[in-house]
Amino acid sequence: MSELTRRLGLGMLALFWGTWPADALAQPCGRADVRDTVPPDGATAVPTNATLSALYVRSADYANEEVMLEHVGVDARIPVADFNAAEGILSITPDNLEPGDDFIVTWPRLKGIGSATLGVGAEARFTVGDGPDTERPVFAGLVDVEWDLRRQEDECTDAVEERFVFDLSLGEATDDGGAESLTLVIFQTSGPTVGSGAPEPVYVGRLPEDDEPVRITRTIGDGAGRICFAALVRDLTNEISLGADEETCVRTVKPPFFESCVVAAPSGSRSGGGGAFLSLLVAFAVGARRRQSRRPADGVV
Amino acid sequence: MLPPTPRQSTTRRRIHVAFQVGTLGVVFSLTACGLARGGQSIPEGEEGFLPGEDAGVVGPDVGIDAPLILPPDAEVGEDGQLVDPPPPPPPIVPGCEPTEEVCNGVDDDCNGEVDEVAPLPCPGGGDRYCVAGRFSECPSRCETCMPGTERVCFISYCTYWGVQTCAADGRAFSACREKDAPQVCRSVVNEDGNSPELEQCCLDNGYCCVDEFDLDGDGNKREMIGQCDEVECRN
Repeated sequence: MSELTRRLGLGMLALFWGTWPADALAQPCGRADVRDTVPPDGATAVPTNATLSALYVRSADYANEEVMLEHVGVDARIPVADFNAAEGILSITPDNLEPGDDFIVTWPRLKGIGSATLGVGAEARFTVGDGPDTERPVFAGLVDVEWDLRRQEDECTDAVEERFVFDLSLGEATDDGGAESLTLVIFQTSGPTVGSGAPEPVYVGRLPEDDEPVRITRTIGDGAGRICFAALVRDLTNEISLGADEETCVRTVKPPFFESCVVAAPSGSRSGGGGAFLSLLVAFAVGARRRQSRRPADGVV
Repeated sequence: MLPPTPRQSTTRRRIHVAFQVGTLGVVFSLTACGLARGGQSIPEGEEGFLPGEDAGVVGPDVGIDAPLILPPDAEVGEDGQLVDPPPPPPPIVPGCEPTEEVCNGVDDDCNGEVDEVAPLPCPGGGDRYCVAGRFSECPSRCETCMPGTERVCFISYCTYWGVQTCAADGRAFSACREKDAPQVCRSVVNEDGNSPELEQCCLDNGYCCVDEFDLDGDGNKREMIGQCDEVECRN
């Protein structure tokens, strides 16, 4: 292959990758990636009694892969790890978190159930704070919810799947171990498949920074009608906040939506500046596609 | 500072004490058995002490059942001197009868907080939390199926056999996509089409199959039966 051909090829490849929509570069189906770590990379003031965790995709399968904890400048060790398969959380509770010292924890790559493909691991560097976390976190709960419907290509089914998406805005959260290391747990407390039964945990993840909303997806069957959510936070010692008694609700509408209709006048008629047609656009709220509600919406949305 | 004024205990157990809180003039009235103030209990038959007059309190002529006006930060030590107040007690809900706190959306123990009950551990990991007045379900690895796994479904035309794939979020199966039945079931397809016999052939040959014909007789035609260990959500 000539140099010119090679360069042309690389250029075309770069052009291809640069213009290809990011959404189209789908991940392999069922890959067991690390979604988040608590504490996050770069965390400071991690309490001395912290439990460190990596949140994997829930289909991750743990087969005693090693978690490496490096006490920077001191030693590296492989602590005993615990895997909570229900939430996809791999965790360790070190006994050597010295105040002010730096640590690096390396979370392993795991396989997904029924998959031979290794997912993506993670590395998190953090600094230990002055002492232990002794107080329960304080969380104001969910404060707002917006909904929409999305149709997106699914990497497992190779088909377009419809989902309701709910963007949940969060109230303030604080903790003596640092809000950056709080884990958010969201529950669906009302909906067609919840009824008056037990709230269903629908999300576990690190509390987002900068007041970003958290996105929850639900199937059409799970997310149509009056939908309510509640949430709590967990700190690095597994203490939980109050606030889960506060629900935030919204009423969704099942697709298909009726967006609008156009009424056309008979040809030859005149209107306004001499247009040939009189058009009337009627938009229906049914197709508004986006509703929002503030709590409390108890009984009324 | 004046010495403390002793208060004689009384056989009357009902004592009304009123706190005047700040400038709001809110009168916080407690009705309790021997409850003197701020959660400090004076046992019946023992002497208690009241702050001196300069603390804004009337003297020993204060009658039982008469409201005592105390500054909110007044505190008397064992030596009878005013001392710095301790951290404020948890808020007490007027008229609330304290009981054991349970998960019911109510402040049972009257401390101003609702449902501060411990989570219940789940056998497969994680916990059940008290949410909106009731305990949540245990967390599950997925909601409907393991992402990317497949189950056999049945259609009413052509091949009569199909496959559904679990979506990446594990929340639903795809639509049933037509597919050729395996060789071992083709004779059933040709003879019976979409039928209980075809579902039975699916089960007999080790597939995870939609129970469209309710072969297990439980009345549920939407479940899956057969070799579904890899497909179903499990912890």
